[in-house]
Amino acid sequence: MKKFVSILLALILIMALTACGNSAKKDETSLTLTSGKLAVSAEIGYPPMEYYNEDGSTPIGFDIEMMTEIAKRMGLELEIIDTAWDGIFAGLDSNKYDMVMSSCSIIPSRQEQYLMSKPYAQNAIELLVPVDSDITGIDAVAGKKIAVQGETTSHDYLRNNDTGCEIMDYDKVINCFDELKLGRVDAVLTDSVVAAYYLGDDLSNYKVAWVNSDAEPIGVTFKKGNTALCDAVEKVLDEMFADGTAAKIATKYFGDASGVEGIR
Amino acid sequence: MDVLQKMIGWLPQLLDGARITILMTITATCAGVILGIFLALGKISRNVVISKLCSAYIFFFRGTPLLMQLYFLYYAVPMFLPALTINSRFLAAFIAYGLNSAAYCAEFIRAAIQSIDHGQFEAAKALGLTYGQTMRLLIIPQSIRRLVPPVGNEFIMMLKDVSLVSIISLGDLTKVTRSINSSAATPLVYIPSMIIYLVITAFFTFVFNRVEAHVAKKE
Repeated sequence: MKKFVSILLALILIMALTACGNSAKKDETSLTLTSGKLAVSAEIGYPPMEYYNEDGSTPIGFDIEMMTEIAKRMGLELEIIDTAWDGIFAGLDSNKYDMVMSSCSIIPSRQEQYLMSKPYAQNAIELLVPVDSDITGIDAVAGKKIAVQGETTSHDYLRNNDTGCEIMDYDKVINCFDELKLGRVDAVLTDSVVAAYYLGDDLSNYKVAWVNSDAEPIGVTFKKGNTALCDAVEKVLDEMFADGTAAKIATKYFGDASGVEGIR
Repeated sequence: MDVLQKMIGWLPQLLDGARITILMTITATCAGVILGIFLALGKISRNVVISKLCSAYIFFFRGTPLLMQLYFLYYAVPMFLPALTINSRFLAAFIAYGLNSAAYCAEFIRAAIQSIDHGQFEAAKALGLTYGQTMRLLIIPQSIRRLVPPVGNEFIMMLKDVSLVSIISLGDLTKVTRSINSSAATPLVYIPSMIIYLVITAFFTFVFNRVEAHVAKKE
């Protein structure tokens, strides 16, 4: 028994030591944090952009297929890191992953702190209400409860504009729609790409009451100053738009290619 | 100095979150202790059905994660049983925390009751007291002194468990802190927030110590 324990301890020690050895310093010549690997962060649970398929473990969606293609064309192995939205960009600063590709709207405040690519999909925020709702627009929501995903551009919109509504913020957009379904909130404010998905699912139940006139197209986010990787990804995206791959993926997830047409 | 000014600027929001945290902790722990007494008595009851039911309740609530119980009660139950929809987030969280806390309280209350010397039960019986009278007049009053430390412990555990309510969009101290962290883009806010948690813990530890000293004097 004693012998067994000492062998076990020795094994643990060896494993710990090799684990330390593996955490090598960043290879200066490599484009990515780990040579040969593209680590991409996404908040999975945001249909149709990034979500799990029915087995609950395989990520699928527009962003997922786009990043898979990007990694393939760059000759890198793709590693997808499912991260909570709240704090997803901070992971770039602490070198947890190479880039964030998770329906990131291109907005000035984000561009100040991070490097963002040119847009690769159309988007704007939309107000979704039950089909029998009397809400006619964002100017008619005083006293109503509106669900948003926390720290998204929809959340920012409600915080920065005096609409008089009660803001209810959730960790996942899925919970916002649960709440709307249960009648606990009067509306959901979210990205048009997501709204379209839920409308398609349940066209008889919901309608769009308002669309923000300021478009918020989606781009890839990198750490500030990481222009080498950003340029490389831009080049691949340009190719994917030129040869119709982007339109093909868009059609698969959005129903048509209008979301990516003429955006680059 | 700039940093300090920033922290002071966050205080009103943080204190508003702390108010929800404290309110939830106090109400849910009280509910947990009261329900826990009945569960403990049920578990040691000689009636097999009641005893088994109480044991099953305790097993369920101690055996599944609190986060999942909260999620289940708030999002899942209304989908299966619309009649049991709870629309108030505070009320839903209060019920989930109260039910969960009761299971833990029941166990240490049972231990406190069973720690009273068995001879006292026999003496009470010899004097002609009923089971109810024995419990109410003799055993429970004596158990209370032994209950103060674990209740204090449960209270402080609850204070931190309340941080899970952010999943149902209830603005407790942790949720407010995370919001400030993302909107102000600085993790500095965790410092004043943790200090607030420590101050609350210190205050209630002091209160429970005083209560313990007070009931010890009576003995």
